[in-house]
Amino acid sequence: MSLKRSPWLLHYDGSSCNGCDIEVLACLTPVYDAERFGVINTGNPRHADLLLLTGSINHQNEEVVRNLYAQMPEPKVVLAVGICATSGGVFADCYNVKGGADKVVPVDVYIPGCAARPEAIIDGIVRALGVLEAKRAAAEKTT
Amino acid sequence: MEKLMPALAYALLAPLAGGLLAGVDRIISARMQRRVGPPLLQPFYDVAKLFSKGDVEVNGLQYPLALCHLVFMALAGALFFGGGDILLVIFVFTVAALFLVAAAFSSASPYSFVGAERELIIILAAEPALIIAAAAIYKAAGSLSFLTLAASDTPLIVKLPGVFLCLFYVLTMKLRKSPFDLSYSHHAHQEIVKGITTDLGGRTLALIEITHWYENILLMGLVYLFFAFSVPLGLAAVAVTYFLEVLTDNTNARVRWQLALSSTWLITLLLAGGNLLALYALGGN
Amino acid sequence: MHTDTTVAYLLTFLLCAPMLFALALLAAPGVRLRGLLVRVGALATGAGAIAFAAAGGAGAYYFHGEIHGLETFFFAASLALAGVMLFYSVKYKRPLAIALVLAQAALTLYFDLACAPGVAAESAFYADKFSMLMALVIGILGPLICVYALGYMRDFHRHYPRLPDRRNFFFFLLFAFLSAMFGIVFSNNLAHMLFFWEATTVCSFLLIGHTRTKEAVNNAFRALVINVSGGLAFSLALVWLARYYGVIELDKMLALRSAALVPAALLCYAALTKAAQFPFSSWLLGAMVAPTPTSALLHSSTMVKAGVFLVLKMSPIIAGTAVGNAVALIGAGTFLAASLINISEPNVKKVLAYSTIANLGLIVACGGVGGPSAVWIGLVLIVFHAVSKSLLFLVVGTVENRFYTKDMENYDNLIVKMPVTALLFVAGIAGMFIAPFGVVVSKWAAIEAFLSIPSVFGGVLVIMLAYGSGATVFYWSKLLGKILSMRDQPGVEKKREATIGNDEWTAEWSHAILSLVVCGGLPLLSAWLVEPYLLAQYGASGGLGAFNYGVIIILLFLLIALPALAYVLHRRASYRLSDTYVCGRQMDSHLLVGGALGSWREITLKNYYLDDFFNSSAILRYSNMVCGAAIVYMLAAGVLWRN
Repeated sequence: MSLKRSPWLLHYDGSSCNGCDIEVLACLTPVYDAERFGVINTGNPRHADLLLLTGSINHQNEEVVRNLYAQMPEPKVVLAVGICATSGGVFADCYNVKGGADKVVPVDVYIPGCAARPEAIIDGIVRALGVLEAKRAAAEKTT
Repeated sequence: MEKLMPALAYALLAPLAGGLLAGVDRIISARMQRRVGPPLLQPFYDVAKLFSKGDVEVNGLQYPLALCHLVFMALAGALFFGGGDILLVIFVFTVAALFLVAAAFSSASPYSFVGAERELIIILAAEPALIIAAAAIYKAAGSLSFLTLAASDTPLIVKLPGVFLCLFYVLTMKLRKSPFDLSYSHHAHQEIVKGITTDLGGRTLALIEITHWYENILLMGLVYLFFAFSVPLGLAAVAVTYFLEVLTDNTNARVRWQLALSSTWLITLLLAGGNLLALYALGGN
Repeated sequence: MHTDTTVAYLLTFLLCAPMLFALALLAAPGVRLRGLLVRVGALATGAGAIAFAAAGGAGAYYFHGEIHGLETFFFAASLALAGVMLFYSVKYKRPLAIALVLAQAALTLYFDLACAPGVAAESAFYADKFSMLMALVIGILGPLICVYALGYMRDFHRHYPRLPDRRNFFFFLLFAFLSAMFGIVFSNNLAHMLFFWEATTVCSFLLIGHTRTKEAVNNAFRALVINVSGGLAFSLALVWLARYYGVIELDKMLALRSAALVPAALLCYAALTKAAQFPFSSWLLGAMVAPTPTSALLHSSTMVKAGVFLVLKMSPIIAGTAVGNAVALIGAGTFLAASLINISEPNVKKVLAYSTIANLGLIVACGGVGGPSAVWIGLVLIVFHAVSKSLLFLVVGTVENRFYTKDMENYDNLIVKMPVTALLFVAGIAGMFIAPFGVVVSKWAAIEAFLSIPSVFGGVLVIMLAYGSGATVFYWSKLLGKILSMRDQPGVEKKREATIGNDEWTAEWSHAILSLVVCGGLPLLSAWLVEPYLLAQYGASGGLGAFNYGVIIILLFLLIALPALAYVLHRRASYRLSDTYVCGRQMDSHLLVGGALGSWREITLKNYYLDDFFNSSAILRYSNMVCGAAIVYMLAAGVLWRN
């Protein structure tokens, strides 16, 4: 239950234009205030429950994304923020990108938009909390 | 026996009080930034969540060292509230801090390493002030036991204004508030990721959070001592001090460690050292 | 005062037996015989010291009676010592040393021929509780270090095959030194004490210069010059005592109290040179070039303790006077300055040396302040510091013989490369600055003792102690962090630890266990050895009180049990080992991080030395000036204020 109340997120820019990154950071500002839900932006995968990926991930940082994902403790949820992370966006056919976060790590929540709105991002986080709880329950059943 | 009761009360209740204090801290910070802020019990939710996370550790030393960090911090506080010698409490408090530093040193991450070095600089900066404060308390009141001092009528704040101001300065370091949150910060503006806790996660981090709560209550107890002659005034002083610390946190940017070290040592010498020498000159105990 | 034959026999045994073993070692052919002699000699000395301390009752023993030829022996032996020093000074062309040795020899001759015959000397030797405490320190740690030296020197000479192997002479010096140290703590006749004092100077000189490299010779002569200048002051004190007071015995000098201020100041000067206080610290730093057993035995646990022993002995005379205040200032100033310099010191042996100087400064400050509480602290600190520092030197020597480095930065990852050694290292470091181990307990008690000094001077001392404490925590934690860092995967290079011999393990483990015993047994130590001495000297005692002793013991238990238990239990638990966080980059076990464009870069993690803040040469310069001025004041005050 407490997982839902304290989602700490790690935000990684995987070759985004920074538009979605700015919107993610805007969620922490007074107008949207994601800390109401206990959200803290930690820069450290070891402290994080949610991995927010923006940008379409390229060949240079796919290893990094995989490492960050591996360094996060279970249970964890990946959110693809913005259309580039969801499916590659306008860059989907380019040779230099992978074409979306789910080509590299398993994604649980997709938040489309260019740039994704803070309301949508917070909505996505809230949905991710549900996924997180489900994963935790499933893990408890197997152990 | 009358020493054991306060010590036990501290050991059991300090996490609750410290957690609530942390919650209040976050809400006040949020309101200062014109946000709503998290619920009051958020720190407890955080710690519960951390305990429920899977293990992800870098080596086999971190968790044991974090556990020792917790136990020794609780011990320092229990010793303090149980009427033990405050100077010994400070030395045990330092030992507790060193366990955390050792846990951070044991990992190869450069952020963790730099965080540990900076934590040592914070200890270097704050230690003289704490020792001189304890010495000055002894000189002014003739006792180094919290219980004796709390029960007495001596207004320590009147005899030790310089020491109190110096302690306030050093408190900012120990509470990990800007401008002295060099090794680890609750803020989003990180320069060394999470500093001393970079490679510590899950249960280990939960233990460290709880230790912070013990530490904060111990430090607030030290502040209370100066106003202990009147219980409501003492509690009010603690509240005001903590509020001022949160205000300082929200209105200052982090300084470089050189400035932190030099300013603290200078202020310690002038305010606390000067106060102590004045006590000698005016014929203390 | 009464004589007890058992104590007398054991005292004689302790004075003579190590010297006999030393002479046997000089002649011993072959490694096996040498090893046997060292081990038997170590056992005999240790057993003798323990029996000696156990045999003593509550009081002090003064041994009267004429020993035929004793005076002649001492006269001839001191001339022989002067001859040895002169020989080497001439051989290596050191005019300053020649001048000092000749001056000292001249004074000694003058004293022996002109002053001594006119003074009645009753008891040449004595044994009080302080002597017994020192005898335990010398007699337990000394033999352990000699045994350690067997293993150490074997590896040392294997690594430096070109160096001439003069191990017989080396062990001769170690054992002869033990006799000399016993002589210092048992001599009531100050002229005899001077002889033993000079004997330790000569042993130190020869041991520092043992490898005969240019650096070793230079440092040996620096030590010689400074210590002989102390001996000169000692001789001057003897002459003064004999001529103006008609006294050459320690107990009679102490009975004079502050009337004997001038000779006491001169003796303090000698003691301060021996204890390497500022401005005399350079010789101890230079002595670190010697093989590690020398550093462990002479320059941390015993010879330098002779210096603080003398200061504490003089404490009833100098306390409360200008001389005492000057001594206290020098002690506290040394503590502060040495601790600050250590922050920016990268050489591990020099860190240990400065830490020794700092702790000796604390003892000296307690001696200068005087009174039962302060002197209590001085006595227990002698024990605590000797054990922990000796352990540290032994461990550093072992590591040095395997990794051939003295730079702190190379002590990385020691807990993976040499786990048991690293653990002993941690035990030694913990003994130096972690509560509730003795050194911190002494610091705590010292602050409280200085708080009861009525004048502002007490406050100044407290402030110096506070800053020095902060610095102490910093530089030890740095080293601790380096040792506990886990970089490589376990299993790498562990075979180095297999090459450590039984001699070294025995010595190191004994030291570690001793450090626990003296810490947990502090109330017993205090009641058995320290408090009777204080009661005899002052009529009152110092100590910590039952509540604090209880707290210390509980803390000690927790400090040992908790990390061990937590570590063992945690190993059983299953957890996932993950990679270190380096911004998500790949990092392999050799600290190589995947960088940009497919490159691999190495991470180097170095300690902070805060060089800009703590410029060691500037601190050295200023503290030498201040302490030098204090020395001049101390000597002058003795003359100006004598009544």
